[in-house]
Amino acid sequence: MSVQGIEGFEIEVEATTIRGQQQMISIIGLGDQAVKEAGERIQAALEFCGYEIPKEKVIISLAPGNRRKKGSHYDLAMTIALLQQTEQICVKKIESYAMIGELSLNGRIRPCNGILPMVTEAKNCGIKSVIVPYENWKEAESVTDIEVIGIRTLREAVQFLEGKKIPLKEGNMEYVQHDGTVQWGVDFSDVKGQSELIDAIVLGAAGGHNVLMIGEPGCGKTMIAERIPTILPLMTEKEALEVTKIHSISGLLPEKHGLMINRPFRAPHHNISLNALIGGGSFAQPGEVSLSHNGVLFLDELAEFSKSTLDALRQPLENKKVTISRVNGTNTYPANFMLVAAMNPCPCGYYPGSRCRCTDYEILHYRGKISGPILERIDIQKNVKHVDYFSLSEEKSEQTSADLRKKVENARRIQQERFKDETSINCNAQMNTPMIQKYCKLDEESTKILKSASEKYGYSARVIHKLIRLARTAADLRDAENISKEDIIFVLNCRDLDKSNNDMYVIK
Amino acid sequence: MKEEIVIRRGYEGMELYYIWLECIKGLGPLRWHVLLEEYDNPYEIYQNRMFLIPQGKVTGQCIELIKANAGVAMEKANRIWDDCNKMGIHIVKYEDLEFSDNIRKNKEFPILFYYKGKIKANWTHGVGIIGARRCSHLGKECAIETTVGAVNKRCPVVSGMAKGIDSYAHTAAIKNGGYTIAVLGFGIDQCYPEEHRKLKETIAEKGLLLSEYPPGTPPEKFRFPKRNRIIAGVSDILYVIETGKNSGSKTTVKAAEKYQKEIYYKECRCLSP
Repeated sequence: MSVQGIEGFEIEVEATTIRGQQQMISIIGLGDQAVKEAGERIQAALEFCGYEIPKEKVIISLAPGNRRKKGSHYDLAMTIALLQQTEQICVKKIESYAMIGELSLNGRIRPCNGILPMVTEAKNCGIKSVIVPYENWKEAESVTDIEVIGIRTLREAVQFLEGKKIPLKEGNMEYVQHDGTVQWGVDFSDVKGQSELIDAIVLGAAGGHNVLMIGEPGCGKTMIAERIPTILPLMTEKEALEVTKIHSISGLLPEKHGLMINRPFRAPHHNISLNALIGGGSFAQPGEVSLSHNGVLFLDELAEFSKSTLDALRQPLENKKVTISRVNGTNTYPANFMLVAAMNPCPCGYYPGSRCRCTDYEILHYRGKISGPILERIDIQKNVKHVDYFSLSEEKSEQTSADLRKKVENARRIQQERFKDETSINCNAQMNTPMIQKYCKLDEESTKILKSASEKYGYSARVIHKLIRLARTAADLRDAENISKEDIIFVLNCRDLDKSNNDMYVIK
Repeated sequence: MKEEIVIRRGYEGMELYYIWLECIKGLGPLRWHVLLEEYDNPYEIYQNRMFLIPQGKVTGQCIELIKANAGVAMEKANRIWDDCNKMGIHIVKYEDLEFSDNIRKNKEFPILFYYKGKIKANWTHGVGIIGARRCSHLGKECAIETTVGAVNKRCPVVSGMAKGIDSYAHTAAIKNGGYTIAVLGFGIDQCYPEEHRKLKETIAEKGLLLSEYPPGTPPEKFRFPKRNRIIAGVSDILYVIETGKNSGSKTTVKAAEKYQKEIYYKECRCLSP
């Protein structure tokens, strides 16, 4: 079994010996350095376990021979193939097993990355039973309808294959059922004094709108962002599998870990390179946008990211997937994430407080670092208020994540119902102009308010469309059929950056 | 070759010889003015450079410098002249401008100014508005209010296009349909600070960009206090808003005192920490 991109593919391992030649192991099939070195590992492990190393030349072929293979997880399959060929072991129906695992010199089996996509592919290829390293057992088990065996040593593998002994799980490897009891460790009830912002966040989560938070240092932008995954609807089994696959390829799954049931939250530092964000490396590995698939990508200090890095986000934000081409292949990864960004309002960070000494020109220059196309894809721009610590303790506890999630789930359900006939759209944020006209009916009063606000702030048609989309989500949150006056007033408060930019006393 | 260009231009390109005089290494404003008093114009000086003898206040050392550097300075002057033509930067001679006797007797001003924009009749009788680059919100309000007052009296608003108070003064003048003069401490083709690019373009369109430095001169910190004397020179009244202890506005104030201009201080900082 091997993996390319997010999908696995099947590798057939053949071994043969050629008489009358010098004793050596030759591995063919476009393997990388790790595959080439497998020969030495196999020899050492055979020696240690008391098997005989063939005296002739050994050829191990990884088929199909025209695809590049990388990694050390072919060791186990190659060893078993060699033992079977030299008749040191006798396995019946060897072709019905798939084997994944790296050998250590003393015959132990070491864990490896990308188990989940490989096991999924094995199932699709009609293989009955997969042997995986013991540490990866749980991860592999999240694939149903296939027998998964975790082994610790080469000897165990042989015993199992010869039908002598089936390895057992130890007691502490209980499988956590995917029943919705997600443990986060953080909760929205910890956030105090930001109820207006939380409402905006709920709005974003419910309609799939991206969010930008603007606030001074230490006012809780990061704290709130961390809690956003807790109010997103629980992942379906399919979503969880996708997320786990991507993390598995990147080697980010903790050992002895099953399916990922928490939505991912990724917060790359602002000096991240374009390739690390989008994906890259010589084997076109997934980047942060893919790792946050079905979750939240949080970009703190948005203005500090390099311009080219941010601009690269445009395509994944639009298409919900990225395609990366490198020498060793072209891979497409899903990248359907909610973008949550945070930035300071000005270079010093304290605008509009009295501590701020930035000029209006500097402030606009600073905000101008974020290119228009990115800002355009962010529907909600909300100021984070300064909080007074000492008055907080008296404030009543805010809503919990579970309550907020119920609201969000309800709103999402309404949207799914609405868009069931439309193709390639599943939330309000993706509505195009004809859909806005079709689904977002404004009454006279709302239109009047919207009109006067857009005249006051000079909103373009595009911003008005955004506002209407947001208002649609606000109405969904209330479980209402039509957009009302209150919804419009609420969403008008979600464009703080536009308003603040308009207040600047500058020549534009 | 070089001689040919010079002859072709002759008296028509008199500004070229002013630039030439400024380009001579070792001479400063004082000697420029002295030389121009002794001789009619810089063209005379250039033509007769090999036959100059010390007379009046012109010393032998000064003549030596002219003789030694004339060629190099002419090359440089030609380059600047071409740059100005290419970039649409104009030149105005000091002697054509109305300056008070207080300024004339000090002989601190350059013998020519580079400018871009509109020259208006009363432009040397402006209202100078200067102050802190790191100003408070109150300072900003104060600058805008003062500027609007000046614009209503149809006075040109003079400032230095720096961050803070300066930028608000220019902005307010333009927004209220007034005439504004930015005295720059660098060549007119440069821009500092970077975020004022749009502001600079608008001033060139609706007001006046003024600099004593030829195009291509980069912004360097020692030039900003120097240009302040020109801000003081072209203003009749000077408003100083929010200055700190070692503020650059002090040099403007000193120059304004020397030229006997009216100075008003506006402190807005008292309300903010």
